[in-house]
Amino acid sequence: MIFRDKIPQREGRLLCSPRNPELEAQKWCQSYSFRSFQQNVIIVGLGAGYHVDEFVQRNPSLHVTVLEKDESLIQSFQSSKKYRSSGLHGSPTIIHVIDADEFIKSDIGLDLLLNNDGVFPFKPCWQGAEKFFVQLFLNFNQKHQDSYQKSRAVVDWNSNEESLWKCLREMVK
Amino acid sequence: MEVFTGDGEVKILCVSLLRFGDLIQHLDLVSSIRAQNENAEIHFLINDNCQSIAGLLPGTVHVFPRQVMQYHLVEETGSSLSAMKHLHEVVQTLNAENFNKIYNMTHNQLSYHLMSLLKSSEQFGARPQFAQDNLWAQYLNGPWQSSDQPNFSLVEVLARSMNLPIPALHESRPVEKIKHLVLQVLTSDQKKNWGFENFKKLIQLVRAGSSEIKISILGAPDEKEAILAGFKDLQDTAAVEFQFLKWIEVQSFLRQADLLVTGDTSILHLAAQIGTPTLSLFMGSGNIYQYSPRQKKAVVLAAQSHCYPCPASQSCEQPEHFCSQSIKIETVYNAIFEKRSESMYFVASTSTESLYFSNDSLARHLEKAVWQFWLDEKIEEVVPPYASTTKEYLNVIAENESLSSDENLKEEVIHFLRARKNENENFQLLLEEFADSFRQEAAGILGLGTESGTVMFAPKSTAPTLFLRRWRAAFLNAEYKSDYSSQLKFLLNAPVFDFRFAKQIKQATEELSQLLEIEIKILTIAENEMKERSSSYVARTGRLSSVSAEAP
Repeated sequence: MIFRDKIPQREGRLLCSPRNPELEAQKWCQSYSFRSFQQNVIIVGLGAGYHVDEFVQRNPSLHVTVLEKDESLIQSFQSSKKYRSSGLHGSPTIIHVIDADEFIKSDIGLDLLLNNDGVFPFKPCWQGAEKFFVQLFLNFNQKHQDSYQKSRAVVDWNSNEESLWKCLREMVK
Repeated sequence: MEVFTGDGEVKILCVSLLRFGDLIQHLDLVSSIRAQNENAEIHFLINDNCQSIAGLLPGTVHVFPRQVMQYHLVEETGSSLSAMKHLHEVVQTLNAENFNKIYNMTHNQLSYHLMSLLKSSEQFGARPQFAQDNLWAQYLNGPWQSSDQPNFSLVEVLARSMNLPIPALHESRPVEKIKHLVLQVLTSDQKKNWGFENFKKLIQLVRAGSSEIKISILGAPDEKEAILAGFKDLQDTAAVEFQFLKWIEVQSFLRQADLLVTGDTSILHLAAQIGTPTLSLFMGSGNIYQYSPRQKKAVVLAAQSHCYPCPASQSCEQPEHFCSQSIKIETVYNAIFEKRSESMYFVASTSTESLYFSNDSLARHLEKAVWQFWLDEKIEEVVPPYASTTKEYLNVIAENESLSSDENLKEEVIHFLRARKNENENFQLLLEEFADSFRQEAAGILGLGTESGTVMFAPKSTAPTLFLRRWRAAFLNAEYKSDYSSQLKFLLNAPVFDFRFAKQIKQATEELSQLLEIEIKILTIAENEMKERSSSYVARTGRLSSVSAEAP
């Protein structure tokens, strides 16, 4: 991982706006509206961490978990001023993910999969590792058939899976 | 609201997964369930967006996290697996309660599938095999949905489809003089709103007539901004007061009101249940026949626009809001101050051509009595049921104060009964002609054989449609204003004709014939009874009717 003027790069591509990363982070946060029921949320991608900092400040009541591929980015973020206890739940939890599919099978991954109230992608920091982050994101939002098939066995649906889906389909008509 | 948890011997779950208004109307069904199961522990399953009303429900409330699940299913940031997990948890929680009975008051596909996941000894309402429960279930799935003017409200037909008695209409608190007028100016849907300007002019009219009447504009807290903007020129005057109340507060506020003027809202149904007199303005998708307040002496003004009622799923596509324009301010004003006597709308037509709709109208009672008799499958019981149904019908008439003293009104009722009987007999002739034609002439056209009772039909032939259209036109021209024939008319309009349709037409013809037969019998008994009650008739003809109410 290369840092140039404090802006991290992966394979020569910048992981956040070099001119105004704070403004980029603000706009990213503004693009999402939050529901009252949300408590535990996941951010996919740490990058330079501006968006994480902004997100935690704006939503102090949320418990935030950040998933990142590069350990050096995590170390850099945790040693920076930005990593501070600004939320009610303290600092965001940052998890180093090596393999998107293996992670979802781990105890931590399963717990996150079953107990999250939303998964938020910060796509600018996926540069140079798009395939990994797309897979990681899909593993959590479960909107792709393959992702769902990989995870469906983690819960015992009491043989009701088909009927449960029939109910859910009616909710999106 | 007192929460009755029962003795725990029988546990009942009431599934009500629609909106506030539906949930409040379903409380009538819950009262019927309570009457049949006095010591039962009653639970509710309601949508998360109705949680604020939980305090009004007489039982333990379980929340169906619909908004959460929809978020997870629809939004990019949600997780489909989380939606599954939430639903699975709800099902597990409910099944752990070991309910003895589950009543599904929600007539939609979602609740239908949900019921297949819930376990209990007995289940009622929409679920797999629901249509096999009784004729009412079939009526709810078929004619009730296809008719713009069904004879039963949704609550009534739901009740019977779940083998519950039809809940009685709520009483309306008597009010001598209106001192406190409450205006609920918004509904949940733009096309059901009468409009701020109309309400402002109504307030001016009321104020011009009296400065003593207290006028309150009622809204929910989340409607405050819109309402204050709509009435900004009234905010600084003493003409009105604004009340933005939560659910838990609105009930006691309505108890103090002498009249609530509102569109088709949940507040309307709440007011009806607690006895506050109501004047409701139905427009857009608010169908008076399906959702009018279940309250005696309720006054309902329905839109007279050509497009009313429209489907709930569509927004108003007209260049102007014809519905709100068709309900005149002067008409509403007059309806507020007219004396609320039962005779006022007694013989009122229930068609949309009439502005006034009344639960108390004679024609509506008659058609409901006929349908109820038929749907309860009492057609084979000849005399006593007819007599009891008729007596019940006559009691409605007898309860009317004006009818006991007003001879002209009695004459009017006799005239109505006689005209209706003639209409039925003419329709019977038309139906017999059709049945005959269908058996013989149609058989030739369709290439059908009628021998030995076995009928063979040409598959998917379009040729017979002209024949069917001709008869449909004949039925329409008969101007028979009821939904008895709606199913037959629907079938006669089929794009293709095959064995299935032919069988259904034959069945619909027989059903229609039975309905007419029931009504003619009721009318005969009712007419004779009325003649006996009418002194002027006796004086004029010099005789009493020879047929009593117990006669066939």
